[in-house]
Amino acid sequence: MTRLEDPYDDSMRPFKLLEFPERSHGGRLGKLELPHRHAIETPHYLAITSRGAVPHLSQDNMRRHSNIKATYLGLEDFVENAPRRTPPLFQQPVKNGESPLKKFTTLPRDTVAVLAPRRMPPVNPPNLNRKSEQAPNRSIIISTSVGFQILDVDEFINDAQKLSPDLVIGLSDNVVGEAPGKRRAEKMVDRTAAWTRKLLQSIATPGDPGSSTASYALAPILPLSVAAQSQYLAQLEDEMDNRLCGFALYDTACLPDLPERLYSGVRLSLDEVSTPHKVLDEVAMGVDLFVFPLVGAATDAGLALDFAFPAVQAPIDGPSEQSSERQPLAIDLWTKDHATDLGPLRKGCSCFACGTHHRAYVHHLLDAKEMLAWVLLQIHNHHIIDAFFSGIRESISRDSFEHDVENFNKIYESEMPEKTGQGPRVRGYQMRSEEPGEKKKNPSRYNTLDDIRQKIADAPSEPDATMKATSLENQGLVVTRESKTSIGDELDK
Amino acid sequence: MVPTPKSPSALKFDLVARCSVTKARASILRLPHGPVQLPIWMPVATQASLKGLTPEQLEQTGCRLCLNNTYHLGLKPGQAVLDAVGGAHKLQSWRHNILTDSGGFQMVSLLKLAQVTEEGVRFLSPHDGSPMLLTPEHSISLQNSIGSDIIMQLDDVIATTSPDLSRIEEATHRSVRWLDRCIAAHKTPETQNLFCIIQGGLDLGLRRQCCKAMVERDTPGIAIGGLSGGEAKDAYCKVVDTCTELLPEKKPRYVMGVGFPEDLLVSVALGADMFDCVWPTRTARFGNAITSSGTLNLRHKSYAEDFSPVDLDCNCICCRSEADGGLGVSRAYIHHVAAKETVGAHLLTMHNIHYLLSLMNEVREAILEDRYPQFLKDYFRRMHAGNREKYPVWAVDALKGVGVNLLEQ
Ligand SMILES: [Zn+2]
Ligand SMILES: [Zn+2]
Repeated sequence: MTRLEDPYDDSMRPFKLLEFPERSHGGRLGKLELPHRHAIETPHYLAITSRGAVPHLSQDNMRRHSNIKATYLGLEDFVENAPRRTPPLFQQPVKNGESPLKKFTTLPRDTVAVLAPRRMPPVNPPNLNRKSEQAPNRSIIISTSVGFQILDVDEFINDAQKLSPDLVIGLSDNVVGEAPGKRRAEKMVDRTAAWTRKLLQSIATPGDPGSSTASYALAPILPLSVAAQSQYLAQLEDEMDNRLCGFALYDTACLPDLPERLYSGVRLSLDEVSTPHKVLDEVAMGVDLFVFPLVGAATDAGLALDFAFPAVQAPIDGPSEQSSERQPLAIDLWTKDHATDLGPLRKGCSCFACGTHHRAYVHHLLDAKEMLAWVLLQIHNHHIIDAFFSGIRESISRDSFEHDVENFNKIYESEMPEKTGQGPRVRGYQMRSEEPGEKKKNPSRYNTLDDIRQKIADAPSEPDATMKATSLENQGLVVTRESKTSIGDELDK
Repeated sequence: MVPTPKSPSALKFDLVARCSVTKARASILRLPHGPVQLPIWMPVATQASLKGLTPEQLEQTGCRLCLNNTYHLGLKPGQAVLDAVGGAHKLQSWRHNILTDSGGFQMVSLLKLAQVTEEGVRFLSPHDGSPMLLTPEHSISLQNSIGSDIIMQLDDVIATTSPDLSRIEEATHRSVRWLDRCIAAHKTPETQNLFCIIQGGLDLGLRRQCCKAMVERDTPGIAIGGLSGGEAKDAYCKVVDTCTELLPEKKPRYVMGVGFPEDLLVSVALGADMFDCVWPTRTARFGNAITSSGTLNLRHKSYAEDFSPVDLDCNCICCRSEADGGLGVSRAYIHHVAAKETVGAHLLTMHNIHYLLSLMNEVREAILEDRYPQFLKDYFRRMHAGNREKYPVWAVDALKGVGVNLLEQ
């Protein structure tokens, strides 16, 4: 592949495109190199965290059994009761140059941490009416584990400066649900433009004299047409100095029309792509970084991802099988046919879960509602997605991306398989929407379990001399026939 | 005189050291999946999985012998799957030892409608409510399918607090009869070790009778059962003390359902070698950390800004600093995730298991170096911050009975 000069190359920017200028369809290769961090070759993904951890992956498992080099963190996971009370995260003692965010969450120092105001996917406020005490010109509503709260733009910038993530996604004024009207859209653009200017003026970047903490900024691009936010984009063109590292796009539709001057910034897609096909589409449009709930959603659904890029036609097992049939993107481990299957989740997979365990075990764990099911699936699914992205990069550098995508679309089904089993317990701050009429996310039997949990939590934490283990059972943990499906979960002995 | 034929056994028990003051012992129990050092506490992986830990993580806490519950594995994945897969070791890819209970305890404690007859335990299926029966033969057959290294006889369990002495007496004698049925039904004594379970409630006379009858059956190991039912601790200690007096020296002694640090320490002094309890792992899910200064509920707001490790002296992956190859997790971070993200439970579970396993290692070291009495004194002092008035009376009394006065320096 030919490597051309970036006419706007700014040696201070940590992101370099390996190929320039634009080739219309075929994806682009780049490299995000931050001091003392893993170099991230793009296209790449960010692993989503919840309260600082990749769900189900204890930090030792993440280090040992995943290849995760970059993570996405939402500030709203850490700022309960702010600004009334300083969140504990901000009191984390650190040595010079350490990020309190990484230290607190025990994220390895060389992992790239991307801080955004909100979780992924964010939980939207119950209604779109803004809280009366909110000043809409300078704040947004966030969701914390103790409820919805207001996040002021100055507070956010201040927090980001203190936490020193590697990249920070600026605050944006997004409207959720239906498309905003013209007046509302203008407000969105004005506010986001002002907030981004403020962020870029305030934030220290690595190398700035006298600053011990530093981050690079990603400017949010609103889910509006390029025309609707043209003034804001013009402002960003002026700010394409070393402080602006790239863009976080809420909608990738506007990508082809972005001003040329913005081309060399790294592009992070916040589109909640739900299939690998859509990832490939966005790669073709020139997206460099992805953060999508696809992996976690598959894990929670009991699905083991089962695809590779470039796609390889699976060997046909029996003569009856039609070669024209498309392969599913994932295997549903809930189904009984895995009960005695000692094979790996995916044939030939080299992940820890496939190398050490088998389908029969994962099926049993799901059936028994054991947390380990989701741990093993999460390890496998991250491995698959990691390999998927390295396949994408190789394909682009071989100049065979378009062909490989065509082939991928031919071989695999276009949607993920339907989920059949029950996922892990969902908590309020993780729930997607509170629209009226929405089905309850957890079946009601959990409510009784919660009561039981509460009873135990309220029990004296220091067992006294007369309190034996089984007396916990006397505090409400008696299994009746109604709760028969979760005996193991609630009661061990 | 013709020697009585020795019962088949798949273990070797090497007694390594005895405390010169108390009845504490240090030994090596050689099981089909490797040796384990006694005294030992065993964590409980109920359904072939321990609270979200991978078997690899469990191994890294130092665990070499864990429990699976027969009742749960009998329901899920079920005997047919266990047979097809080749047992519980293969199911969970665990290369160390497994002990299974008989399933009887779960029946009686979990299912209100369980009813015990000479035949076995009658209960209603938790799947469809149909009447079912667990016999000694069933229990052994299931444990044979599980393939655990140590299997337990089905016993007739009743609460030690039951006022009905005749029922306790009946249960004791029935447990001996069921032991004979278990021995007869046991198909693989050369690879799986059947332990008997001494019953007899709190009646020391009955316990003695039961010890005598069961010791005659010559099983590879012996358990003291029926004790974690909320009886007074001094009564518990008397039963353990009485039984260990009558048990052969060259066999492992397992007290079922014990897991609080103080209980473990006293029981070891009374001559017991093996213990299991779900409390340390269950309590982790509710944010409780076992430490040398007691159990801390890290969900309490006082830990929200406590950036010290869960236990300063602990060497587990969670507490060890990053510089020492650990994660350097703080109490504040556990507080942040406790009961909100399952990783919080995973981290604390690893800590609690590691804490108890290493406590038992220290106990063993102290016995080997014949300084167990001093170890007991130091531990109680630390646990109660030097305040002797807080020492539990039952522990002081029980230890006095084996020659250790906790209240003197
Ligand atoms: Zn795999
Ligand atoms: Zn620890």
